[in-house]
Amino acid sequence: MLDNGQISSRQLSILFLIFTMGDSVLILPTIVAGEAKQDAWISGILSLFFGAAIVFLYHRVGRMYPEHTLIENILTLLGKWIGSIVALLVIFYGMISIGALLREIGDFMTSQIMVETPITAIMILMIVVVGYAVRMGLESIARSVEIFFPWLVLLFTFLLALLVPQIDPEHVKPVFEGGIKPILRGAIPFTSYPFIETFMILMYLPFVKNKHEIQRSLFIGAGLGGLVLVVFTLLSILVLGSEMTSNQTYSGYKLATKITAGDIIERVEALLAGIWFITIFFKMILYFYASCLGTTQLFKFKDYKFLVVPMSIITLSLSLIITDNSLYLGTVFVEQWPYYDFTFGIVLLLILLIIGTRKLKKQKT
Amino acid sequence: MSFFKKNNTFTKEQQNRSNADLLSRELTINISTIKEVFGQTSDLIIRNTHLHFYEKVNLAIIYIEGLVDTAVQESVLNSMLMDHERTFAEKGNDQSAEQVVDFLINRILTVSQVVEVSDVTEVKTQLLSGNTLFFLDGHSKGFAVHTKGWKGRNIDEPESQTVVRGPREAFTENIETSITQIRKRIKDSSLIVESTQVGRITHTDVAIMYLKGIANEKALKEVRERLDKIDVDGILESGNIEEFIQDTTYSPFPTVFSTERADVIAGGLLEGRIAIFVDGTPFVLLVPALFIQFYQVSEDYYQRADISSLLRMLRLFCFIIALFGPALYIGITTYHMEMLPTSLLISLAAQREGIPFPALIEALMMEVAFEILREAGVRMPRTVGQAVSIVGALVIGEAAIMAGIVSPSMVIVVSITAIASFVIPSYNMAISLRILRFIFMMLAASFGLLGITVGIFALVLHLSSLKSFGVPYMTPFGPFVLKDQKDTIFRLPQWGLLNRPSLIAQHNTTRVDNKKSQKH
Amino acid sequence: MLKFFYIVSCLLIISLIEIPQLKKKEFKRERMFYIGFVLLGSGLLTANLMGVAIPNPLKAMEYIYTPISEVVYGFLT
Repeated sequence: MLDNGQISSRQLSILFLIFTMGDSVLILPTIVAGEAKQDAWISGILSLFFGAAIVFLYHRVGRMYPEHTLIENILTLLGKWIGSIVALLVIFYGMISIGALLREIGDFMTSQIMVETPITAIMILMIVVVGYAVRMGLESIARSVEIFFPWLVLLFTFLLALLVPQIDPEHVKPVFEGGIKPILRGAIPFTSYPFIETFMILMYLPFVKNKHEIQRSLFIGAGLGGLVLVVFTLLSILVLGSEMTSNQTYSGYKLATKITAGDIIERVEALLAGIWFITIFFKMILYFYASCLGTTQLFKFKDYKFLVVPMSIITLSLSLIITDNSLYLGTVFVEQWPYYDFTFGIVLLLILLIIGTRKLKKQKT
Repeated sequence: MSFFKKNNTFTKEQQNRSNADLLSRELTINISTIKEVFGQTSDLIIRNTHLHFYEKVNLAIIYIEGLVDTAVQESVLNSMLMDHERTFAEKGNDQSAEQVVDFLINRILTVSQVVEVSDVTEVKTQLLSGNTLFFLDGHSKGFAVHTKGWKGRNIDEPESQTVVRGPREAFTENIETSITQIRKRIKDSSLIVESTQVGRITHTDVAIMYLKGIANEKALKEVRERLDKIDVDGILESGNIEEFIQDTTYSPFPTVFSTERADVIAGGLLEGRIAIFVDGTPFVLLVPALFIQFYQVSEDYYQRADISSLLRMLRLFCFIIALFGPALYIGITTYHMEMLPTSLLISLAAQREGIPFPALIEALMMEVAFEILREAGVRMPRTVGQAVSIVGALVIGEAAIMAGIVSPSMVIVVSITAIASFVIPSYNMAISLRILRFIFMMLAASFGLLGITVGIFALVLHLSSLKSFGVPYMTPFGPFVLKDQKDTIFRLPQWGLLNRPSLIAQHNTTRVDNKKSQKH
Repeated sequence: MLKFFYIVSCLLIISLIEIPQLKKKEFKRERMFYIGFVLLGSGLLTANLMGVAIPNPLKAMEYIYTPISEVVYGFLT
């Protein structure tokens, strides 16, 4: 193993939970409400079931070779040439995802909180810390996620408690206005962002101490993360209404601005920004670590840490290249990105699963 | 290079040992060897005399002045030079040399410990550790009599970690007194002391102390190995040892706990930690050290549980203020004015009107001034220190506001930060916060709250990457250990402190037997 | 231009620290990759900052996935 760190199953659950929530907390309600209107929360619940199936797929793929990461699986199952190309594509997927996430943070900060600061400066700051985290190694990442987790729970409950008085039940009516189709349309991003994008967790499964608890941890993580997202979507619609939710780029943030409790608690958007920061940070860290580890395994390097600096420069430039305005990124996120996720998170894994089970069966007989 | 050197000295040592090191049978040769070894040092006392009960034998008494306990030595000399002729003569007159020696050791030298020495290195160590040596003519071995005992400080109140309630005994510079203080507290045979010497020239006594069966074997092995690895000319304070054995050098956070309070060390030992005593300093090291340990004081266990829990929370709150206070002020006033309530905003803006500097410069000025004051106060004699603080705090602070250089709110922030940093019980942790505070101020000045958030991320990542002797520094938060939460941020009542910290002590973890001790 | 200068000088400093470390560990292949990657990344970065148009990978993604997206949406509307 390149990193002889080990993580506990509890750490895996929390990592997966945060990975699931990721950037979705802030932008998912907007996207889903754009399709499913006031039924966005039904899309969410529907996606929870899809999500369960997908997580089960991850577990099955991970179980075939418990000591292999995703990249190693690809290399052994798809052969040298095809495997290398696919592995490169997966690594590129990771890097471009970090680029997109960086861009998201940058856009959010420059449009909502710090209007005058240049976006490049913010993105450099972010990637430096993400790179630092990756250099610290998997164990440190897992431990720090455990430290952040109670704060995340605290912030979330606080926010929830403050938002409940603002609810207007009229906003969810009428239910099933447009039939099942808009709901299914909304379920596409709702399944792909939290559940399919997280297929990179397969890079981490070999490091888990108790292999038999993986399935449980994955389901707990994905389940709780998905539930939080559903709650957020529901709250967005209940408080803001579907119209406003779909109009706001950052509906979650807008949601938090609605909070007023007396004259004392006002302007607590920082809380939501805090939640979002924690989750998106760890999503970037997980992608980055997976990409570095994947590259190392692909090229059979002896260490992964030296890759951090070059990779962060490349992701930084990717994040600058991929778009010149956030609007374009927004449309790509809705129209193409889910299918991009689908290719890797479902199709690739299914292929791996089929080839893998066949191979294992052959070995047995 | 270093390898070569080491090899060289090793062979030299071997040669010495084989040829010149052994003592001779001739007393004069022995004396001249010792004189040669010590040079012309004037505090080496050599007294030539002869046995009173056995006139034929010449005798030399050698010791180093000031290192020996004069009372003990006097009694030894008395008995030595007293008239034993009759008792000896009872046994007959033609005694062999061995019998003379035997008589000498068993009947005359009435001290606890007599050690035979046979080579020069041993002679050297015995003399230098304060023992008195006897050499007999015609006998190739010398006798070291335990007369160790030099003037040291008496046991005193701790200067650095004072408590309202709790024992008032601090360690002293004498390692034996310090060890005794622990022995007195933990009267159990499982308390083990392992002594070594560190330092090529200083030969400083260093002792590892632990409770057998409770201390973590892995950490113990680690401690022994790291102590063995130290190769340095001198150890003057436990801080020297600390720097050699700590896990990470490039970290502002201490990964070794040090204290001069005997009860803290005893408590640490009971939790399964390992204490390292160093001769010549009252500060004893305790490993593995965890982050949260630096925010706990021994008094937490002597006061009632609810009070100490609240005090601990207060301390952590002060940690947050001490670290982020000025940074938050800078960040909010420069980037996030809208987060403040309107009335506060207006009053702040009015104060900052006419201040010629940006908030960062203002804060830096005040912080640096405060650090200078603090450093001056520490180094100055106590009486002058007070004058410094009066001039600094009252005169400069007041005048700076009057002159319109800093705003009053900034002075409030800086002072609260300063006071909050004094709440942190451990001095070396407080220093690390002082360093980090400046970094956070810079981050806040350039990126506002985002900078602070990112800084927190980096800080937490750094903290969770640290380990102290194999135990993650942030235990029990990351890795989260539910059982150990009972004694971290809050403290359960004594009957609730069921187990020792699980990552530190790995065997025999039960502390309280509830069946017997719980009240009904 | 100033930005470019800052970034390049930072990279130089980091590389000057890291390359000797890789040399010490005798990671020959790794060193080559490191230099290559850093050059590639800084090339991309400077080109971007200088305003040179670099092909956007998202465009390729758009090209591939738009038909699929349209088919799916066709089903669901």
